[in-house]
Amino acid sequence: MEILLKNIETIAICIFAALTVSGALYVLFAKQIFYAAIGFLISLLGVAALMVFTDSEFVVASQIVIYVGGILVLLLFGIVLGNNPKAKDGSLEIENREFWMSACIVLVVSFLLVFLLSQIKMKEQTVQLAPTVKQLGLSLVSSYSIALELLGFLLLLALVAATFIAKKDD
Amino acid sequence: MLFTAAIVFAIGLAVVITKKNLILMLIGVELMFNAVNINLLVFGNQFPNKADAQWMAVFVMLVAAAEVAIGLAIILKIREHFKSLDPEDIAELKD
Repeated sequence: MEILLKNIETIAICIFAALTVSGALYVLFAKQIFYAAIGFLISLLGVAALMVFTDSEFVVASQIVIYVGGILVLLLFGIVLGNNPKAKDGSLEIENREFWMSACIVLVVSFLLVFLLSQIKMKEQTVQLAPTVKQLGLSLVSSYSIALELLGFLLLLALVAATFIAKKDD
Repeated sequence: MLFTAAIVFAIGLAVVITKKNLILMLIGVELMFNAVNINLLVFGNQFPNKADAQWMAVFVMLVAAAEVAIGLAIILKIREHFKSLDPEDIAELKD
């Protein structure tokens, strides 16, 4: 039973990893910017699913709320608002520039990273309970209170600044 | 899982390098953020206090959200002013 569960977990991780990588590849190869955003959505959901296996349910929830619910919607708004669909000027079309050079860079970077990661010796996973949401909340208001305040300030600043930059000037 | 993160990071880098569109470059940066977050959580499991890494990942996400909001506002302005999103067209300072 234990081994079966372990196998199922490995298979699930592989499936979600394939989903994440294929979504990211679709972003790289998509010919239209809207489709690239859809590929990005798939990749984000795959990352959220992968995060489940690291015992961090709270981060998964925030990933879905912040990325899928916030950043992706913002990006889609940016794509839709900025493009006039009647102007068939191909502004929605995208093309890759210097494709082979970047493909070489990517291959080198990913081989380097995979090589470095394979050198890491992980500790044996100690049996340890993941922090509950209650513990997370307590640590947020105790050890991370300064970071929390700073982030709140940063987000407020970003909100005001984005509104200020994007407003029509007279 | 770490290898997935490495590959996604490399793809995000490729998107930033190759694309001729500022919004897509932003998406590439977000892909790299995601890869880093996965790594953060996996390595965080090695430490006794798992809450540290989890809050770090959430903070990374929030900073990314702020960055995207500002970035999109700037991109909308750039499109208004230059009528283009190609970074090559916005090289006025270089010339």
